[in-house]
Amino acid sequence: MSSRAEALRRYLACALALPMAALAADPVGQFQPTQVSVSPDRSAGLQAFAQIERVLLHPRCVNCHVPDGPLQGDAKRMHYPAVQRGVDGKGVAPLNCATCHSTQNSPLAHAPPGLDTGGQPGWRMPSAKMKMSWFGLSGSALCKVFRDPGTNGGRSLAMLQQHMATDHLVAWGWHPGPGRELPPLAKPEFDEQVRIWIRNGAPCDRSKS
Amino acid sequence: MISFSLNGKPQTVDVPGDTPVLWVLRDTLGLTGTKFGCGIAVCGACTVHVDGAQRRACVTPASSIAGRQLTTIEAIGEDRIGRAVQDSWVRHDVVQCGYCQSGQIMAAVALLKANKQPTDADINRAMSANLCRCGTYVRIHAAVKDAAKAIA
Repeated sequence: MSSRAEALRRYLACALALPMAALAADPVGQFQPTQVSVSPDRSAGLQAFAQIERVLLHPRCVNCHVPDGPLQGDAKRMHYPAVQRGVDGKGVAPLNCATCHSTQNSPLAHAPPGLDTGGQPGWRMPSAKMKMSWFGLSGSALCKVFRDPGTNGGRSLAMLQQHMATDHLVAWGWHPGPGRELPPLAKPEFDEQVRIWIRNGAPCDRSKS
Repeated sequence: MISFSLNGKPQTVDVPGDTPVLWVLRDTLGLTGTKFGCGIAVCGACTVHVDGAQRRACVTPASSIAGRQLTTIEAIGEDRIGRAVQDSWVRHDVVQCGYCQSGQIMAAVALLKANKQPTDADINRAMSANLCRCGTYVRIHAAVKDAAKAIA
């Protein structure tokens, strides 16, 4: 089997599989994965991804979806201090993410943002095993990396949608604290564009890169 | 009530859960070795260890250390690496005004616990998150290297 065929097989297997693990992980039990339409509108799907892309490449997302150490701020500057990803995406001791990123945002500007995960600091970036780097990508190249379980953290479409809709680190992007720009779409609008994209077959533009 | 281990001894405090650990240490417990610097986890003056990992006490809520081991500058000398770092600090006469030095020492100990043979680059990276307005960075760097030799 060619690598391309194998990639397609993995994609379809994940896309069609029942997302039981994802559903079980949903704390409120309200998430329902969008089903692919029997008559998908490819053009509508591509238009939706163009909107999704605007969010993915926004600093609130892409600052940690990078090849190496994280970036910071609306200008995507080098992170201060010069922390490293680490195997688990939580930094390399003695400078772990949790050293400075605590459980909540500071009300003051220029402070490291915080995230509560079970009462403990939850800040992180993708692990070394699956970096999910989007930096420098756009269009169909970004779409494919985003959609392919081999490069998106092993997520089916349903799991990808759930990650976008319910993950509290994703949601932090819309509650980033003072001095940080919001993503270009409101969260409900972003979630709707993800639904439209998936309903229409989660297409990636073949003609552009 | 929030219970934790403070410098190896059981401790319980009656504070709201969102009270920063720095306030608990300095105001509730009277341990003033840990300093208030920027208050937003950027300067490192308030560095403590929670379960051996460094944390900025100014942004760490008290509720998050329930059941955990909190170590401060007051007790770091009871640890072999901590003692070696403090001795090296004295040998190199690192301190100028001294305000940031509690945090500097806690950061240096955290580095040497994670990496007993740090390179110059390792030291620069690890210590870069602790600011010193007096500019004692060269002496800090030398003292960390010397402490690493002492514990080898």
